[in-house]
Amino acid sequence: MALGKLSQLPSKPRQITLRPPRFGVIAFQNPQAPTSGAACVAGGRPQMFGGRTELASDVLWISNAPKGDYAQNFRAPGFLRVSTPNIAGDLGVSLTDLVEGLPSVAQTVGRVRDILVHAYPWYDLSLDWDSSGGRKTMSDCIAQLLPPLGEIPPALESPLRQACQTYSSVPDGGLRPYDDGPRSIYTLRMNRLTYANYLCQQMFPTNSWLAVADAQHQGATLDQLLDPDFPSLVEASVEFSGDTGPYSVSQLAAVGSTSSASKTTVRRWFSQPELAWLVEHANVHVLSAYVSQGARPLDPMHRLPEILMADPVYALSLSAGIVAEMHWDALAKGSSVRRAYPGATFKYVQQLTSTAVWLRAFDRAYSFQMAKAVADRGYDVSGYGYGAVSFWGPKNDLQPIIDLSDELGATYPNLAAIRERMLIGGSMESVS
Amino acid sequence: MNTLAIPNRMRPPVLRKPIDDAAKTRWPAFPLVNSLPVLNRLLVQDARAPVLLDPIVQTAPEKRARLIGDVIAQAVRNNPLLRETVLVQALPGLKADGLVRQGPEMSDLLSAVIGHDVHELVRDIDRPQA
Repeated sequence: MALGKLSQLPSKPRQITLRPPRFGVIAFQNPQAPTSGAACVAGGRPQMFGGRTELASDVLWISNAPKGDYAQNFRAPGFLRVSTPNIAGDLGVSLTDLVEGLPSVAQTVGRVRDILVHAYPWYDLSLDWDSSGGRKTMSDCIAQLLPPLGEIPPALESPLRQACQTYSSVPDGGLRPYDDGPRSIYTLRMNRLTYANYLCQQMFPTNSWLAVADAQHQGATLDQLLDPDFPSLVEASVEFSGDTGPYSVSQLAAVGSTSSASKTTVRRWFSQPELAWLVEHANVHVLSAYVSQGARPLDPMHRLPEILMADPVYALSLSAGIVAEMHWDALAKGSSVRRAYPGATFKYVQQLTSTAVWLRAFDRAYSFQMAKAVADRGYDVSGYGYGAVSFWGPKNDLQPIIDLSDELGATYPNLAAIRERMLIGGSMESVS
Repeated sequence: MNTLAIPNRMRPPVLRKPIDDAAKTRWPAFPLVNSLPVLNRLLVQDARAPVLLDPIVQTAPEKRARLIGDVIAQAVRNNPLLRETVLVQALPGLKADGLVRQGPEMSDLLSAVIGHDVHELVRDIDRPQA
């Protein structure tokens, strides 16, 4: 019986190969009221749009609006950890420049996507990169994909939470009276790839811990607890003596002061890398401690992906650096677990691994050194973390900031381009 | 780093692979272990360098040296003050990494930008100090 042409299947059906979603960048005209603006996909030309329905549906659009993730394929500025205005600043272009700025940022974001596709064993990126299941950022997506970092003894859950500080916000930073003219906020940042590699090469505690319930009576001295071969988690009282220098070290140390009031915790516990520099500036009274049975490097599967580390020259690429920062941020994330509470209720609490807490502590220790160098130069530090320091500096004189950047070995932002734009436009923008 | 049992069935976009052994023989400049820190500092002092350097991850290994050379040349043209930095700080590293031996094209480019014969400078660096 002859069949109609349309009812015949092709003789050799071919499998359709899935393609990863493209990344695009949106610059809303008014980020506070995100309706219209300009958009660009890597390799494409910028297009103006009057509403989100005009934009391609197969693209993950990363916007510059704080609440820019209101549609299924829209993502907020922090989706890639580094916001699009910050990427523009690091490249030395302006996001509102439709001729060069927006396409350059779109190209960089496109390369981030290309590296991400290669770096991790994704299954289906249409699902792996969607925003369900708490995956608000790409770091969340990576965190869900990486193998677990190991179980934590229940007794350590609360101490680890109290020892974790993601970002250090200096209390009253920049509120000091300043009489030398208008100021602007600056952020100086290390090379992201080099910095992520530095963090991932540190030593971390093993998952076997010994409790020292009463440090004083059990003869555990501070020196012993600071032995790097035996990482420790220390319950301590930290007090700063009166400040005698030009700035307040107690403010700069920002113990327990994070970027968001909702994330603050009482800091009774300190990890060894944090305590190591705190004892230089404060009186530390040790109450109790958990001591790990040894130190170990990161497992190979948790280190930076091979595609980023195979050639050191990749450190010159901003997009490779963004992926590296998302990688260590993913490792340093906690997971939300459901805990039973009295009265047949439950609560979601954050569970952190010791690796996550140590990564944050190494970052805080390094960033504090940057903050101290900036404060030593007489600038008001407002915060530090993620290998960067933010501070208030003179608004229209960039040369001292460039000198300071050289001194710190900071790579970003591209101050040379900002100075060029200042010379042309005669105005200053936020340098972060 | 394929650690999961599930295969990656996405078709990845084109991205250059890390340098292989064959390319290492042809291009002994990689990795730029000696000059990278200086380049990192040098090139951020040029307004255009980050944009020009970002595609490096998608540049074929044999073309990376040329790309970096172009960006150095561009940086010195834009800011002549960087010439001294190239001479004093970057050149020994570039020499150690073999970048100045990337063939006449590269050394001619650097020579033209720096204003000195790069080969002569390399000989000066190699010469034992009195």
